[in-house]
Amino acid sequence: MSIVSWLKRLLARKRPRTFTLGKRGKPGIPGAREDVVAGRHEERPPYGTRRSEEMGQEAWEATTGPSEQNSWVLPENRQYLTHSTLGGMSREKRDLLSREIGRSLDETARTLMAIFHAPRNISLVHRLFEIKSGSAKVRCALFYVEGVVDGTSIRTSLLKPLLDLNTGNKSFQVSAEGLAGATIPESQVRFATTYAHLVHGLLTGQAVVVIDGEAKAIMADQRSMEHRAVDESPTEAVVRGPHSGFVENMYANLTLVRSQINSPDLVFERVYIGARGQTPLTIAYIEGIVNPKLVEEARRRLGAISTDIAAPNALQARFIEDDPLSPVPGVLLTERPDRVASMLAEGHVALVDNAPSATVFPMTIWDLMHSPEDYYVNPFVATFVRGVRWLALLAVLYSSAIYVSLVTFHPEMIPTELLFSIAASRETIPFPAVVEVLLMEGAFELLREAGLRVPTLVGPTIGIVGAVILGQAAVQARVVSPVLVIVVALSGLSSFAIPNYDLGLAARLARFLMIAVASILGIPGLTITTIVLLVYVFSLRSFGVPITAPLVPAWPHAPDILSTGPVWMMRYRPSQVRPLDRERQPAKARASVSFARRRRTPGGKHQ
Amino acid sequence: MTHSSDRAGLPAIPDGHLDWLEVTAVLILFTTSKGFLTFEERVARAAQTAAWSVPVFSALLSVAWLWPLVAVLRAHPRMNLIDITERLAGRVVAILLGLAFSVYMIGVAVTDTDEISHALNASVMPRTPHTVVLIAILAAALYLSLKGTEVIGRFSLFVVVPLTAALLILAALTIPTWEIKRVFPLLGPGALELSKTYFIRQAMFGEMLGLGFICVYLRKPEQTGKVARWTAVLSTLVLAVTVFTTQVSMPYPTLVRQTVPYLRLARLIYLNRFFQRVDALFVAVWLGDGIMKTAIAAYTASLAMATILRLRTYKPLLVATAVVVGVTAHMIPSQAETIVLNFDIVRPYSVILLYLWPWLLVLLGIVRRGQESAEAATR
Repeated sequence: MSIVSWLKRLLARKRPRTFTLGKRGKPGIPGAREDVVAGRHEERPPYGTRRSEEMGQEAWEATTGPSEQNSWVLPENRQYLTHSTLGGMSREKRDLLSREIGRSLDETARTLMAIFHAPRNISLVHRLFEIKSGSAKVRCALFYVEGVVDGTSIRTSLLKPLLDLNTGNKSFQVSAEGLAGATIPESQVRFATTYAHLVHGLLTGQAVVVIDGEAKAIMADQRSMEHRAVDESPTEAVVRGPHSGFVENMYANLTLVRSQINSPDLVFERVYIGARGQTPLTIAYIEGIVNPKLVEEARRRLGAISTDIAAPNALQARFIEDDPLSPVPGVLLTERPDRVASMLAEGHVALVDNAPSATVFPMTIWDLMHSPEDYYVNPFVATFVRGVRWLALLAVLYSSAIYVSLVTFHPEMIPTELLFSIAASRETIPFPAVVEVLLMEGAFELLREAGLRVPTLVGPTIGIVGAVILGQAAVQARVVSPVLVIVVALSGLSSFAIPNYDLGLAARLARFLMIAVASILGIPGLTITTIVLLVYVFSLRSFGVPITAPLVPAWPHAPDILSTGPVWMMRYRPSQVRPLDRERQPAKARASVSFARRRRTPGGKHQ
Repeated sequence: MTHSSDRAGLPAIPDGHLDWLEVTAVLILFTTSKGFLTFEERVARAAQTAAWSVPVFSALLSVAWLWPLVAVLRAHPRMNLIDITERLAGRVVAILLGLAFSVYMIGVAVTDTDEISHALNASVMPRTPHTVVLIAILAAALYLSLKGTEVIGRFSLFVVVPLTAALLILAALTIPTWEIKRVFPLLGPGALELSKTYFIRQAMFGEMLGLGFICVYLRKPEQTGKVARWTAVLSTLVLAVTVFTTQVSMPYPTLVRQTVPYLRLARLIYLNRFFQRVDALFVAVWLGDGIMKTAIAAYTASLAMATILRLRTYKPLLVATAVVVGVTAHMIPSQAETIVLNFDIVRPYSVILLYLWPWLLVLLGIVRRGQESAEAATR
């Protein structure tokens, strides 16, 4: 075989769709790959974290009884043997975690403390106690990770019932199952037989009770994470419609979404991102509407993230976008549960985690210019407001650039009176138009950035100082012309009217490109740059969907692209997400009012 | 995904992405963009007062080569003209005709780019060097063509409506200046001379030969005929309207002295005191359409060359094509010479290719089918 043909074969070889745990090149756990590809699921059945066939099996066993006593424990423990909690750790620790729990309490406690670097690490809290069963006394230990559990709940619903056993004459079997059945009122009780399972439970808010002589530990759900109360979204505020926004807690966020969709078909699927960080992340979709290939693609892209910590979802978005270098976003980040719910109902997929915004895909550039409020107001008003937003986008991109090109290259295009006015105001300005514009635009960007960083109380002051005093001073000092102040103010104000923050940032960036080209080639330069930008936007995709769909390419769509139609006319779901169920509602989605009215009218035709 | 060249034993060029609307939009823009340049002046010079009828009757004549072209493409779905030629006439003929097509498309790109850049330079940017304008146009066109068929199709679909609408709106705004008597006598230079003009000026639809390459990307190859019909009808309509508008808006002596008649037309428009220069809109539309045309011409030329050379991608050739177009356009000393090159050399002689290629393939197809039938009967 020649070198050339060998190279061709090497290049042509498809890379497998699987991935290893942890960083590339580090040894993985034997058999881990298959389990991870099957889905790194958490243990909580109510969130529908397992595959439907597994859930179906469980539902069957719930009615008929398990075919074998406690047979469900073993598969779950097998799953945790390969759980990606092990990823990113040293070989020794991986070996430690893959071991099964021994019967000796002391050994288990020592191992857990070694894994958590205790007592140096104060996160792992433990308490030893004894339980009397008849005449025998059994040594037990309670473990939990500080900060992720509810301390009060542990004291009242876990530790107190256990210690109360010593005062009463209650007889029970000294085993994990017996103790759990007799004392722990929590509904979520599980049993772990491996350290991997145990460690994962501790990190996700479980309190662990280890019994001396038992090779199995009790895990009781006591999770409680501090988070901010549900509040209004700061960047997507509306006058009409729900005001609640996402917060920094995934469970609260999922509750907010589920409160909008009361359906068992709403599936929340759990994955963990980052070899060390192990950030929990929920893939949300509606079974029966969403295209399974889209969910599969989401799993594939999330599974391929090979980093140590990928905490906030904006960071995760960079890992899963089709074109991560594009300033135009490839996924939609929204802070509003109602928007996520409505997009899930259309067949989109959402990622929800411990961040105050959810990631929705596939998205189109039209989605970026929509606001949730569009659907809560009259469609004509909403269409008008959307038009204003598009004008604002054009103003951000072009206002300063057109000023530069008109003043520099095409003064004959300006109406005569206005031309005289501009010429008079620029007479004493020592700079060319482009320098003048860049100075003011730069100052505006500086003000905006400073306004974000300064304390809230000082922020408005900075805005007033910047907008009024600095602008007026610049004009009086004859550094910039008064007309330019108006142009830059228009441009800056318009940038706040763009409903999507990421698109607003992209437009601000493109504005400087426009100004630069306008200063060299004038209006023709703006035309050329517009063509290039349009071509660029047309080449972008979001999870394989052209972001300009369904307008270009021209696919069937509801009246909800540039304008907004009445919601009862939106019969079909967006075609670009290829939903399994295309029809959202029947053609006649509301009661006929006119007929009823005629019947009620005295002397009417149908009286 | 299927590949156009797999059936002909050639390397893979992906296809099957575009709807008929997108392909139609590409071809309409490709064909009608000449309306923004010297087209009206050249047609008026040749057909005098009968200029308006040239697009209409030339379109009717061009059915004579469009019909066999569509028939051949429909008989060989997912294959471009060079692949079909190679199958029916052999590799040598395919290379020769492919080269002729590439040269034709490069000629179109060169003349188009040079005309736009010169006109732009002269009318709105006298202080900017011609080379800078030329490079800017070529860079934008190159970027567009590098993005590939899908993006060209989408972009065309997005801009075809506003561009065509702008052209028609500009025509409508000139109504106050119209003098219908300027279309009389109807036969212009005489029936015989007019017939010759109709035949020669079929070349105005020569860009539709590009269908033989772009139709490969149609999602449904059976829609090739639909694309050809809509393109022919709409292009004819647009070109006839532009010629008619310029003809009735300006006296003949003025018209034949305009290098860019439609720009002059835009300057005639007077809406009110504020909108004193509507031609700015025209410049933007004109430039956009010109860039599109250069991009599509360079793209089809590179695609044809890539098929001849059995390359997996046309992109490396595209850069080379852009360099050739830029250098050649720069070498032509004046706009007048570009116009002569375009209308007296490239366009008239392209009619030979327009008739020769489709009819050759139709005849060879018939012969080949006859041979196959005879062989089957012998067996």
